[in-house]
Amino acid sequence: MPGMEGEMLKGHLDLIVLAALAEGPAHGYAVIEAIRRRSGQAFDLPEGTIYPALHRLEQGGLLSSRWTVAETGRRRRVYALTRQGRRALADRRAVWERFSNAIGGLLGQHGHARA
Amino acid sequence: MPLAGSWGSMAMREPETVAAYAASIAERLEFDPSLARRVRQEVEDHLWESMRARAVETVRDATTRFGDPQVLAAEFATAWLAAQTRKTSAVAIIVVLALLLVMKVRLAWYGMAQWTLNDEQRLAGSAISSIDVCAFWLAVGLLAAAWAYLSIHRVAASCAAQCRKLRHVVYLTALCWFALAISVTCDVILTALRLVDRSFSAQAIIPLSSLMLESALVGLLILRIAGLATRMTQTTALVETRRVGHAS
Repeated sequence: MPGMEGEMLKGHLDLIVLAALAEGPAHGYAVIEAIRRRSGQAFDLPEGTIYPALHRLEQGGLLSSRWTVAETGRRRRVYALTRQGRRALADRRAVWERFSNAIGGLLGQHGHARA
Repeated sequence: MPLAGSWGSMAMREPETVAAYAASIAERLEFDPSLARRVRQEVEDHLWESMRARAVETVRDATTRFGDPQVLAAEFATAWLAAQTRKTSAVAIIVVLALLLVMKVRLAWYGMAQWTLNDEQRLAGSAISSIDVCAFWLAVGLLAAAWAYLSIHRVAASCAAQCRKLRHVVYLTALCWFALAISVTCDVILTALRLVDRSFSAQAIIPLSSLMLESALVGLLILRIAGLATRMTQTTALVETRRVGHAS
């Protein structure tokens, strides 16, 4: 998603990552796959962008992480929502829904006015 | 098992490229070796996982999808810097509370031991004491402003904007340190005034050790702020390089 839509996506990256981890603990690549799958392939950021966001959310206490060993024998960092992260997700989801409804209403009215 | 076959041949063909790409991000984060190590391992794991999941993908495809190392390093560094700034502000709060406690205990001890200032010293002592109180509460105010600023400006539009905001917090914390240093200096002078007419005794250990503790706390805070300022310069350089790269 290049250009302005890409920038909009970056602005909501924390919410997107929290939502992707709501299904359960996951490593970075799995988070990206979950975002891609659940957005119907619409959200396709540079994959590396997710990791600074994961670090930031962990430092903010919204995620926890631990090293595990993958099937391939490679060390892998797995992230999970903390209780604070679940609360933050619920709060941000509510804010987003209000915002989305407001914009939807506004654009809908605009459409009616033009028609 | 075509997937395993592809993975095996890929693993033999291109591990150096994966390691080199991960290192190109990690080496920009060497100011914190544990962060650099963690990023290196996470990036390597991601690239191998990406190639394993997409059996036909090359290292070049995987690294292109991952992003520009310079940009990513700047984002990691900015996230790290934000956390360090919060920690330094928390250290400043602990230092301020500890100083307040030490000052109160010393004043209580002066009262109990009747270590008062004589008439000649009282005027100077009163002026210095006023400066001490003003400086201390100014430090508390500056620290509160730094915390409020951190809370209000939690999210920024870009790494450069985030660095600018964090720099403002560091300025406020540094000013807070300066005010605390004035307050501690006033405490040293006030204690010296009380000691000047008295012969040295075991009792003097209490105010002297409290002053040493205050000095150590203020020293700890300035070391922390200086370390943060150094890292901030490095991170800003990283972010600026990224911006120049993007502009050109």
